[in-house]
Amino acid sequence: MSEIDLGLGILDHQLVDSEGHHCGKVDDLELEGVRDGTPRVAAILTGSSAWRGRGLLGRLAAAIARGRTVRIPWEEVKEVHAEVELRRTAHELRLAREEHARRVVERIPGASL
Amino acid sequence: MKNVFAIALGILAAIGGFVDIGDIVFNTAAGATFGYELLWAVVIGVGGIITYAEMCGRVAAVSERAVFDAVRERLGFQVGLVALVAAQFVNLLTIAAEVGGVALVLQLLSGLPYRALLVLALLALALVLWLMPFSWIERVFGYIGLALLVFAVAAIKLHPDWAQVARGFVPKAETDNLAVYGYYVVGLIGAAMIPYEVYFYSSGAVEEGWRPKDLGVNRANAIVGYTLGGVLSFALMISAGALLLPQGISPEHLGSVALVAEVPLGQIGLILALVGMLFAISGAAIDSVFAGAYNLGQFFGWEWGKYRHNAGAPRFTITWAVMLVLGFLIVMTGVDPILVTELSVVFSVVALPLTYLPILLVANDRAYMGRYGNGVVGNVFGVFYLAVLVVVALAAIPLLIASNMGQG
Amino acid sequence: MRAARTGQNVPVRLALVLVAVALLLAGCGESTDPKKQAEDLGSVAAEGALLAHDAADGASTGPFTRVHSEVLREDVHKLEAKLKQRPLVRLADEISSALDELPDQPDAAARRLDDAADRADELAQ
Repeated sequence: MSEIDLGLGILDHQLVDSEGHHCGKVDDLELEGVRDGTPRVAAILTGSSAWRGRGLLGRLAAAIARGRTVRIPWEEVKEVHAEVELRRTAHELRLAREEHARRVVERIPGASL
Repeated sequence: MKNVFAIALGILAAIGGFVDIGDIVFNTAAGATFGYELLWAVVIGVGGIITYAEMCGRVAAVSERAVFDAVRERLGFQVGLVALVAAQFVNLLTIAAEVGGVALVLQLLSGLPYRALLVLALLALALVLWLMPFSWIERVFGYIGLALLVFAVAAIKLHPDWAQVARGFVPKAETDNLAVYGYYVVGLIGAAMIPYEVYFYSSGAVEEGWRPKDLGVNRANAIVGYTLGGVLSFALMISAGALLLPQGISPEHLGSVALVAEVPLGQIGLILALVGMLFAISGAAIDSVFAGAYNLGQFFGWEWGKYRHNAGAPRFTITWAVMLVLGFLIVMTGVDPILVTELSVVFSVVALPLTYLPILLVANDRAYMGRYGNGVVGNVFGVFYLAVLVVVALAAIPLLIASNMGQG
Repeated sequence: MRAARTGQNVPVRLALVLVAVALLLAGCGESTDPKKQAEDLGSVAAEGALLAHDAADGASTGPFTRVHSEVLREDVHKLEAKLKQRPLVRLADEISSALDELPDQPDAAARRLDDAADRADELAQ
């Protein structure tokens, strides 16, 4: 399978950081070299505003979610199997680790149960 | 030997966990309206859930993907999002129906006012979900739900014409009210295949780290667990057919269902029926709340899991809490939970093909499944049920309207 | 291209479904056919009779008897609103009154509800 097929094949797959935490899905891909006939995946785009490239419903969903896009250069990908494993932690890659939600939940007694 | 024991326990929990308010309502009503004539529809439904669950379990074990991972990867973002919205809408109705059902049964047991019991149900379920380890939840609610076997005893005690019961397993449609008959066929299949069960089963398989070596357990769980669960459905229909149909009684309430156990078996029958219903419906409420959280977590790539501690999967936690509260608010408006139950089953039937198809596709995809993809038998059942689901999905709303919700 | 078309079809379908539901719920409920109304009253009476006989035999529990007979009474009230024929209205009153006394006088209620169920059968012919 060529690299571009591999790249296209990971669209909508799960992103996992080096510590094994889920950090979103591959929401869109940044391609380069399309015009000169050697297409490659330059970067993975993740985050709700990346849905803008996914059709009409994608634009609608992006508008409602109003999040940001994080760009993960292809070099950061360690391995691709069921999930896309990244070389570094989510924190280092500036990916969401559900901080806001965690702060809310942690306040309630019993959160570590 | 220990493995067999573990499987048996899992199956017991599955049987108690199979029946939810949708099965209780539709099987009893179908028995009271058509006697034993619709037993074949339950068989079709049970065959469907076995097929669907086994495929989902296999997909989870081999490709390590749960339902909504597969939905998004296979259908893409847009169509997947539509499937997600539809599934969540249905899940929410189901949650509302189950929470309302819990309050109704508590009322029948205690005599306390319904709305107060709704609040109690919300708080109790929230506490269980927040504090109780999942393995306990599964055991407690699954095992006590087995009290519903009282309906099997009731069915025998009511002395139905067993020859006539046997004939009910053969489909025939010679009835003057085809719309009502069709509505019940749809409802029975829908209630047996209620989607939250599959989302829940599939997510559990991924969480427990099932691998190809667990495929035997998957198949055993699915076939034995759901078949025995189907027996509970038969028991409800047969006892309703034996007791209610000859008296011209149309069961409109959960109390009517409990009567079916009370009349032949007295007070002990009543109590077992109510306790069984309480735990089966509560278990279903918990499972459907988790299912809603699983779906969102899987579609958007969050941390998720019922074995995680609450802060370890914070968005997942917030999602189940929100869905539980929304379900509560729906029934707090005073709408009849039985009505919500019927709507939830009918709408889930309409949405079912959207989440079934991606699983069937993934189950056939060698790139995902290696040599564990669907074989000939798997595809015969898989495609047969896809056809059944599409037909039933298209017929559901028209039949709902034409039959005036089964009232004729 | 294909993705955009799919995206536009489904919201429309969803809207149609919701409209159908709204219409359905608006018109949902009891019918106005006297034969069907008699059958519905008969169903409530028969169910009440089962409950009453069990309560008289001590085969029920206090809360269940009270709650379920009250629930059945509410069913009768809902049916009553659509009744036009006098015999049906009288029957509905009788059933409602029998259900009211059910928790305290199950024996008497059982007899009244048995009779009411029979009368409903006759009216349904």
